Amino acid sequence: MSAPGPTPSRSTPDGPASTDADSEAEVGQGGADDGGRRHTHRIRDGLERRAIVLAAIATTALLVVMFYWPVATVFVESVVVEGALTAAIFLELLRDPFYFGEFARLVRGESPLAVGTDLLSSDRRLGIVGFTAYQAFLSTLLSLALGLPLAYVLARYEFRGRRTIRSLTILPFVMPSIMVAVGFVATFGQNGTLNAVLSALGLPTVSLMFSLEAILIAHAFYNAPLVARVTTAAWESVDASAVETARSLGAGPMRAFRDVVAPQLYPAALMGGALTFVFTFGTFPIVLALGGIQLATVEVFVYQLVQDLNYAEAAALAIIELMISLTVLYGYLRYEATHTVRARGIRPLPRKSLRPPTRSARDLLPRAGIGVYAVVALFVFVSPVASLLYRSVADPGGGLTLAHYQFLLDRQAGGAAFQVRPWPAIRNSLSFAAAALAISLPMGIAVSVLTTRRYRGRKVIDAVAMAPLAVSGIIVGIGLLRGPVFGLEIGSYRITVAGAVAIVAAHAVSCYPFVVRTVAPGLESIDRSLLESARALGASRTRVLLDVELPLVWPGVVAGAAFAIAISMGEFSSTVILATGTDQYTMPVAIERFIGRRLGPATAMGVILLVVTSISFVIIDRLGGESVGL
Amino acid sequence: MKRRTFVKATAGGTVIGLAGCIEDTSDDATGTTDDDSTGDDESDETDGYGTDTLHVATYNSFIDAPSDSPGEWIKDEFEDRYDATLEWHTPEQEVNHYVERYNDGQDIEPELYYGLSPHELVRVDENTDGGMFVETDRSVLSNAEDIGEQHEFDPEGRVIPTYRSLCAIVYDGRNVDEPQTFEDLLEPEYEGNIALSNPQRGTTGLLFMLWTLEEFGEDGDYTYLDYWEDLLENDARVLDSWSEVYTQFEEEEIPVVVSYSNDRVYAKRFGNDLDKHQVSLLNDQAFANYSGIVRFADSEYDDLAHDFIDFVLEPEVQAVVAERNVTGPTNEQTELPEVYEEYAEEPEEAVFYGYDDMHGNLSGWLDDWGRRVVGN
Repeated sequence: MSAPGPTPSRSTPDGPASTDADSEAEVGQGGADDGGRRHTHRIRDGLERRAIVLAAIATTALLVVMFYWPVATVFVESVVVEGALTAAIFLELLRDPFYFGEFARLVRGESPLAVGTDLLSSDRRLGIVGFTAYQAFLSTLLSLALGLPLAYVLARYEFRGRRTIRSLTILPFVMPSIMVAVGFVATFGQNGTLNAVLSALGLPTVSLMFSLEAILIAHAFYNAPLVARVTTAAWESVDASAVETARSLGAGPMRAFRDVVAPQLYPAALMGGALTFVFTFGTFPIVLALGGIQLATVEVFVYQLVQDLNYAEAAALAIIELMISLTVLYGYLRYEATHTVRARGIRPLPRKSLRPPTRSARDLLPRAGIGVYAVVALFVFVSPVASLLYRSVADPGGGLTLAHYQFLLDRQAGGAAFQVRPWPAIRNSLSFAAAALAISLPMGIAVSVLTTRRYRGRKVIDAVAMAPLAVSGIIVGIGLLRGPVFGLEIGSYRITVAGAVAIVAAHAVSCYPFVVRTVAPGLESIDRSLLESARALGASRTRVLLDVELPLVWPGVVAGAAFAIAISMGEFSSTVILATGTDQYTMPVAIERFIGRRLGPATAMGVILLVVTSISFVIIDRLGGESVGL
Repeated sequence: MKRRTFVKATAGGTVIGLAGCIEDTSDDATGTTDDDSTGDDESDETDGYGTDTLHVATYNSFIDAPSDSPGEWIKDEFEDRYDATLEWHTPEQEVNHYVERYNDGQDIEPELYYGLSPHELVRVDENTDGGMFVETDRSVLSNAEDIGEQHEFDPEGRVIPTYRSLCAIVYDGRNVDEPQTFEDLLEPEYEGNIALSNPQRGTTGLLFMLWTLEEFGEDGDYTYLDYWEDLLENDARVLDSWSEVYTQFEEEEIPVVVSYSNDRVYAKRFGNDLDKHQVSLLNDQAFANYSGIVRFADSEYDDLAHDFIDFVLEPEVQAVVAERNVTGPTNEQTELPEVYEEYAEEPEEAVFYGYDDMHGNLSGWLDDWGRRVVGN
């Protein structure tokens, strides 16, 4: 981690887009003078050539100011105690069976053999960290199990509403945990929809709430859509001619899938899995909302230690958490780098109809499977959201009411200036998301280009660039307060960063890793000879990126944009730290403020969040077009 | 070591202390000789300065919750009466935000923190050099004398108690019997039927943990940790914060929750089923949480700050806060609003932990608790 210090770059360059536009204007003015034109061409070429580098510098500057420096101000407390460097806090944590279970004994010098034997026994202790990894692993498996079938349906079948479903896939991302808790009780609770259906069918009811199962399902609710979205993008990029070639050479459909299609899906599915692991490893509110303290994860204790102002231990724990997450991400990135299938095709596989063309087992079986999956998906994804809609219009007596929406209108009309009002929250969410998208897209693309070039250690850089995904939200929050908000004293001036601009910057930092993860695999898989030909014909590096590479990886760019919108719309912790007044609050903040003894007002606001986000997703999808990728 | 503090409540709303919670305040709590910043007639500074602004920090549900936000009324009323502007500050991390600022040498804009509880004061003092807050000269406050001495929780007298809430059990009277003792909660009837917030994060959870400490102690054959182990053995759910817990109660997933004794006032206010919203006082007690008002050491506008403190201590204002916030007043001259008297459960005795009880111990208790209940 970088030590706290001044920001390196004062001359913040513009992104590639505006640089390009500037040079375009210059060309227009160049006119008839041949020498002048050559001159402007040279400037334009120069700017184009440097656009990626400039974007990378801007990205680095933004990351330093809004992420690395803030986080470092907190992390440093774990290694510097009363001015002296020490590893004592880490050692104490690592030796503590409370956190590391049997593994702590290894650190204390016990024989690995004895520890190993005890780990295999039934009364082993995993410790908080071990348990967190264990539930994250299970969550990842479940998210893959529920996400991959969805990707299959979305990528391989044609049906009404397919595009809309695809654009709404990642809607769960924006749902605040308290809303998910409400939706889950309504679905999986003792008196929930699931048990109502089970008893109607004469089956025994189940008790799912407040268990590891409930947490795993909630994690799948959040993350299976992520797996589905990235895998769909990869699947839609599979070239049909390769499959046809395999089939014409005598491979059966299963064989063609295994040898041609699947290898192109593994990186995307594994990425979905790796990201799911990282998110569920750092999971916090949902664990205590649906599980309980017995199932507490590392992040629960990071929050508790921060609240208790025990920053040294909190930071040490967060660093250990970060290291484990980054190791998983790095592992995935290594895999991605060596298992990318080079491709240059442009014709996607034809989609099938959901209605079976014949009554043969080959046509019926997959569709029956889809039917079963649809029932599961109805419970896991649709019911929690639907019950939230219902909750927002339900009155305590069991009837329907618009009173909760009326509350929002009243608050809008009569709320005091110091209170959160719905319309400004909607407006802020939209403008912050649009601005964060505009920044994070070029950031993500620049980092993608730089980390898919060939040089040693690029995957390490890639992993470090992913740190915003893996650092504890509360630590980032404290860091933003200590860093940009308190500011930096230079001479007699104090430079502080807060307010709307800072919120957008913080959102962009949280969003851009998603753009990298959806764009980089595509860039990696582009056949190098395409780029070399374009370069040989005189195109600048930026030109090649804009004219050749990005169109080829377009589904990834659109997916990255959707993720950016989702992350920004759902962001809470940085927003509340950086906001300088209620006029900068967003929809998730409004939801949190409207929680009270009645759930109505908060759920009504939650529904508005879902509707606004859905519309944004559909717009992004339509603007992105259904263009064909690799 | 641990001192038990009882507060007897009588029907009229006046409160008589049996035993003070402050054993040995190093300085007298009601007066001070430091008068360098007091003594001016309040009108001197406010006259002609209609735009004087007083900044007051508090927690955000005090001004923004849909069900109860007395902050709105307080602001309007204070501004009307004193021809000044009141600006609320509600940082997300509440008082920790100011600890962070204070320790970093940053300015603290608000003059006052309104709504500070004993456990928060302990945390502030344990994590700062103790200079973030200062004592207010109570001799200039006309209402200070009427505060019941039994409500005082800061031995240094910095925090002036303004209201209190009572932690109690809320249960669904249609589906479960009333639990009357701590032991009742361990009965099979309540297995899997109890939820409470994490003491390390939520106030109600913390109050309940302190209550068990008070009941079972930390030494001996059966400590508070043993009780918690049995409670969790009975499948009690420890969720994150009060809102998660109360959501489960509202959604009828969990019929018994640790909440506040004023629950029925809200139920009445929102037309909820009063048969569902029942309050139980374990051992006929409730555990009190006090909130007070305190000055930041940086604060400059003495007169306006004193005006505001006096204002929130006034019987009329105390009564309005009691009604809107559904919390008990600390000024003994306050007449309780009707709905409060009728629907808020007042225990025979309220128990609470003062500053001295918790100072130096709280983190350890919470840590021990965490290590006992989380068994991975």
